[in-house]
Amino acid sequence: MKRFNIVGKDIPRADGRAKVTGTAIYTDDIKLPGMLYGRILRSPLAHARILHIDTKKAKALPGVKCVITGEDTPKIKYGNWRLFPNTQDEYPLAVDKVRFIGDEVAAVAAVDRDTAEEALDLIRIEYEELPAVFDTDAALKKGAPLIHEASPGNISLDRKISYGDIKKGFAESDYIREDVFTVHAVSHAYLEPCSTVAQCDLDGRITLWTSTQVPYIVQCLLASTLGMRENDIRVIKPYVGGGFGGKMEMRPWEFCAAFMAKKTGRPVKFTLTREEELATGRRRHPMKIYSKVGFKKDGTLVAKDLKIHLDGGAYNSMGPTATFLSGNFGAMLYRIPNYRYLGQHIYTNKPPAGAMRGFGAPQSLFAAETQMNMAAEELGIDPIDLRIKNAMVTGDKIPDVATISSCGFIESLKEVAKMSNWKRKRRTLRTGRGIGVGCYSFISGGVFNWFNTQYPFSAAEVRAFADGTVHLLTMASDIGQGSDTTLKQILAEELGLKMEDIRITAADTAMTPQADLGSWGSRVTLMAGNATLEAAKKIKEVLFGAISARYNLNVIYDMECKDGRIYAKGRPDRGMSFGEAVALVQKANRGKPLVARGHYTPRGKGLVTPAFSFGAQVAEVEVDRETGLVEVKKMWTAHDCGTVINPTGVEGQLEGSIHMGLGYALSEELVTKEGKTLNTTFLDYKIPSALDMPPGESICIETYEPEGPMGAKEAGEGLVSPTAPAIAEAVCHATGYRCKDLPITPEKILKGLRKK
Amino acid sequence: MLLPKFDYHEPLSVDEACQIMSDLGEKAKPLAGGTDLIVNMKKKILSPEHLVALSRIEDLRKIELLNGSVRIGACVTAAELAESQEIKRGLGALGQGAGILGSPLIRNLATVAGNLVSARPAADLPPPLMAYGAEVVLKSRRGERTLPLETFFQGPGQTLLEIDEILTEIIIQRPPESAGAGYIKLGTRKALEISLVNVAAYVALDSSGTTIEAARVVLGAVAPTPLRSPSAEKLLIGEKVDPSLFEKAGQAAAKDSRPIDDFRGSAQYRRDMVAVLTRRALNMALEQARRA
Ligand SMILES: Cc1cc2nc3c(=O)[nH]c(=O)nc-3n(C[C@H](O)[C@H](O)[C@H](O)COP(=O)(O)OP(=O)(O)OC[C@H]3O[C@@H](n4cnc5c(N)ncnc54)[C@H](O)[C@@H]3O)c2cc1C
Repeated sequence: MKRFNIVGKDIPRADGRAKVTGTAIYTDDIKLPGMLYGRILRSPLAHARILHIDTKKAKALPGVKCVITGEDTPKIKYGNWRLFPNTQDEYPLAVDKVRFIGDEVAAVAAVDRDTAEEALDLIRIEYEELPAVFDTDAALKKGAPLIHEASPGNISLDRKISYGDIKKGFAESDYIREDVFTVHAVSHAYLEPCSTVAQCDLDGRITLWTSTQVPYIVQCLLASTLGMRENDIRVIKPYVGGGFGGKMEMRPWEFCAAFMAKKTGRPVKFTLTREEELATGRRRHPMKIYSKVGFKKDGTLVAKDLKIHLDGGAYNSMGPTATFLSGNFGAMLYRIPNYRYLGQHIYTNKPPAGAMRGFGAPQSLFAAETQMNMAAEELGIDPIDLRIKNAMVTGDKIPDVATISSCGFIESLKEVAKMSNWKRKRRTLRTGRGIGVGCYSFISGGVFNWFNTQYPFSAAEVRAFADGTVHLLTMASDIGQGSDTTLKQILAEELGLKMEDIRITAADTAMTPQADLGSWGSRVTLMAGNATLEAAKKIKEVLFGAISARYNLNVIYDMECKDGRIYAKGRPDRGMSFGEAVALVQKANRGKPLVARGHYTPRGKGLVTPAFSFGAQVAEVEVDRETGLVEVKKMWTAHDCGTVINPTGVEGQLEGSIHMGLGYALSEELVTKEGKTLNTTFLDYKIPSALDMPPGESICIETYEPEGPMGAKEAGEGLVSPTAPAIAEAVCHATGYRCKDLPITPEKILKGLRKK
Repeated sequence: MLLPKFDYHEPLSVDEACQIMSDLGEKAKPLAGGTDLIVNMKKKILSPEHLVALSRIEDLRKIELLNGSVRIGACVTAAELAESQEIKRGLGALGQGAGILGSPLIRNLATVAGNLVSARPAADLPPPLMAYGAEVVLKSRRGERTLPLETFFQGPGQTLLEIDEILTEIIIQRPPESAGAGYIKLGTRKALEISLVNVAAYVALDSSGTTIEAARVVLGAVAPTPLRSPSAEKLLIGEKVDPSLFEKAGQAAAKDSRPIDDFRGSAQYRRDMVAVLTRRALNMALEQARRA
């Protein structure tokens, strides 16, 4: 395997110091002269027709500079799935109808926040309340209230996958089981609530600073909803305090800020409150999952029939992608010769679900992995052995999807069994203690171009200077995951430079090369990494040529960039410093700067992703059989993310994933009653605290992904999926209670025990 | 969200504070740690025109031992209670309650008086304090009165405190050597929890160390106010200690509880947990009593 200098090292995060010293500027820190403060008026009803809105009193309140409703706007629908315009079902501000409690109806901009808040109370709205539906079963009933006129039956879209012969598969099976699983809604709970500042210059051009994962998408959709040209809008992403999928669309406050800045000539800022975020924000899809699997007696998987109802809430948001991916994840990890999937995305009168870390995988894999554990129990085969028997390996093909170009799954399973002392603990743990396993596979970015971008998926520009520094420009968005550091590492490695030799400008749509689709689907390291690498290679080629000419080198010489120098391999004297080489090139070109562009768009990689990650996780728990409380004692993880670019970065992703998975399994749940979210503070929305975090051990299985930059693939999302099924299995091992409806609450455990 | 506008007073003595409260009446509210009051003001649930900060009054920040009683100043924080040697010695259950209130940030601000006057049904300090038979001292320009804590609570957010009164201290008679107490809080997280149920139990043994001479069982979050369980106490007093006794006391306490269903937990679960926690708290109390 290739030896690296900077890649694979624990390089400190580029943003670490700014964040811990409080000097990092987040969107809400931005204050511009004359800036107004915006607030949004939201629907108090789950489903209603808007009969009349009276804003007179609000407009008359001293300090109020602008009040808008849907009627004032161009009324252009938007949505991320631009490729299919009929999926674009949202207006920036409600037109005619509201569809969930929290739907955005009007906006106010005033000289301060409190005045804006006060003005909201002065807006009078007459509604005609309509019957509403709050779960997928009710939404699918004949005669159920229709939420969107264009979607009869409240099904906004479906997705089918089918290969092999499902009938034959089940006919050949010795053991078949059928289960229904339900999973609940959880919040991204990013630390930084959504925030945006818009400024309009005298030529009418907009600059928007916004807390987003997708500056390019915001730029495009802002343009279409405002009726402007894309390049008259500049979107800048300042430091972002997390997103986890919750900031991957254009959102109404971004539209309102821009629209009102244009109208008033003054900058406008919106910052959401935590209560708004929890009560009305995007969330992970609740799902109802019907899964039927067939095995041979010896444990060989033969067939799987999967049907999923996604509870999408009131709008599509990123639901279509989740509908696609849930079906793909249902077919991952194991060789399933006969597979059928039907996913239906269903509207309900609740806050829309969207993308959230794992993008369908946490739900789909909770069902799949739990079912695998149940099958293992009934077949009398150890759960890890059953998985090894069916595990995918490098070179496996998934019909219509991809060929798996690297896979460390079996190694992960073996390694995690060894680390956790699996075999012994499965046999010897006392009652109340249990150990369980869960696994995952995930995508390294998506292939399917639902946004219909006209640009490459990722792009990078590298400018090289005679002083030995380079400048990397990319639209890729570091939202806290550390991608700026990773991209710099890749560039430094390729050019033989040090981290401090590289300046990065990122995520400014007017200054960085077109385009990048943003941070989601664990795409950045692979896609922006490949773009960066390509630009670096072009720079190298030019520099190599110059040195070859300067020393009159035989064409067969290999060249190398290392430790700040460029030279003929094996003849280090035939070379010079990086800066000198750049100066030479620049002279030869009579002053023209040395600049190169790199791009990446996945091609010939099927419909889903260029590369898959894999991994296995084991949880050990202690259950209090009287109170039903679960304490997770330890987590062991073995996973394959290809080449590890930054070990600390990967470790951070792993720990964060366990933390999120722990909450998903045990304590986090957005509780709604008739469409109203009941727990809107962090006291009642229970993210595990530091004291609840179990200790863990982990190991990275070394593989080399041919499609990834320097062999790397994803480590950001997949890891969030195995935790819930692993804990559920451990709880079952400890108590006999089998959870098929997340979260695992003390009450459910006690009820389950009583049944036994 | 911004705070509503208010005037801020910073008296240096209890008398001065009482004078201000007497002058301003309904318009004023005492401010201690602010972890309850300021939150409610930001949410615009409360908008007092005047805040009377108690933090500069040294007398309110002490824990004193006086002829067999422990006197806890109103402004002693949860963090101070949890660390205090006086509390650890003999009043351990109170230290336990204070030690798991909120999070470190909250404990550094939250005061004992604030915890009592805010009168939340699930609060962490009332059960252990009631289990020790604490009394509260209320002062105003009109005079001073001392009440048993268990009569102080009237309902969620409601107490016997008059508009012009300040809670100045809490008095606890030091328990005898042969006594012990335990406090347990049930929640899904290990920090930042609102109790689903909490229970404090106190037992004092006779000289032989086998018979229960006195007992108090206090239940939190299962009624509009913290609740003593008369049935459990009656069952315990005068009886010989044995494991089935605590089991029965737990069942009795569960019957006395009046929990409600909400999204945090069902009434049935809460009632069941009263039985479990009562037994466990009694065991903690017994262990401590026997160690003496
Ligand atoms: C994030 C968070 C977590 C929390 N977790 C817990 C928890 O786990 N357990 C728990 O029990 N509580 C918890 N609380 C509630 C709160 O912190 C406590 O009740 C705290 O003890 C209140 O004390 P304080 O000094 O902050 O009161 P303040 O907010 O200053 O005052 C509360 C009320 O008491 C009145 N008051 C205060 N002192 C006096 C006095 N001396 N005389 C008369 N009136 C007075 C005030 O006027 C006000 O009405 C939590 C709060 C937050 C914000």
